[in-house]
Amino acid sequence: MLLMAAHFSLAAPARYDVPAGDSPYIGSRDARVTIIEFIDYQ
Amino acid sequence: MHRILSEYPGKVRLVVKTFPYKYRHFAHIAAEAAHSAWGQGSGKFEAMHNIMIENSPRLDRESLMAYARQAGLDMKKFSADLNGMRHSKEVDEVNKLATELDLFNTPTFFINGRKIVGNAPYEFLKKVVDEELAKPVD
Repeated sequence: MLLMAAHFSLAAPARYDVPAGDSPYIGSRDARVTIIEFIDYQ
Repeated sequence: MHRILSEYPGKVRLVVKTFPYKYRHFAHIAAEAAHSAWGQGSGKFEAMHNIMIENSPRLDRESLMAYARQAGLDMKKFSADLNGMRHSKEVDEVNKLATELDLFNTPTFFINGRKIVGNAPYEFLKKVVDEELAKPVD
C-alpha cells in the first residue's frame, strides 16, 4: 500500500503576530480573517 | 486561495508577502514585478499576481512584460521599476521578516496568526477560515 505523505503541516496552537504592514493584498482591508501568504512565484 | 477569496467576499483578505527563494533564477524579479503592479493599484496587482501564479515557472523578464501587458499595467512605469529594481527594498523587508519568523518553505500561511506550512488543500483552509469566522467578534 502506498502511503502519501502530507504536503502541509497542521496549524500549531500558537498564533503568530505577523504584521501585514504595507504588503499588497487582495480583498477587503477590514476583513475579519486575514490570510498572510509567504509566496515564491517561481 | 482564489476559491477561498471568491467564496468569502468581504470576509477574507489575502496579504501577499513575496519571499523569493534565492537560488531560483527569476524569483526575485517576479517578486519585484508584483510590487510594481501593487504600485499601480490593487486590481492591477490582483491580475498580475494571478497571471504569474498561472504561468509559473515561466517568469523571465520577457514573460513578465507580457503578463504586465495582459494585466493592463502602465508598461513605461513597469519597465522603469524593473530596470531600476525599485522594489528591492520591499522584497528585502519580507526576507528579513521571514528570517525572524524562521520560515523555510513557501507557501507558508498565517490565518489570523495560525501557521500552516505548505500547500494545504482547499478543504483544510476552508475549515480554518470557518473556525475563525465563527469566533465571536471582540
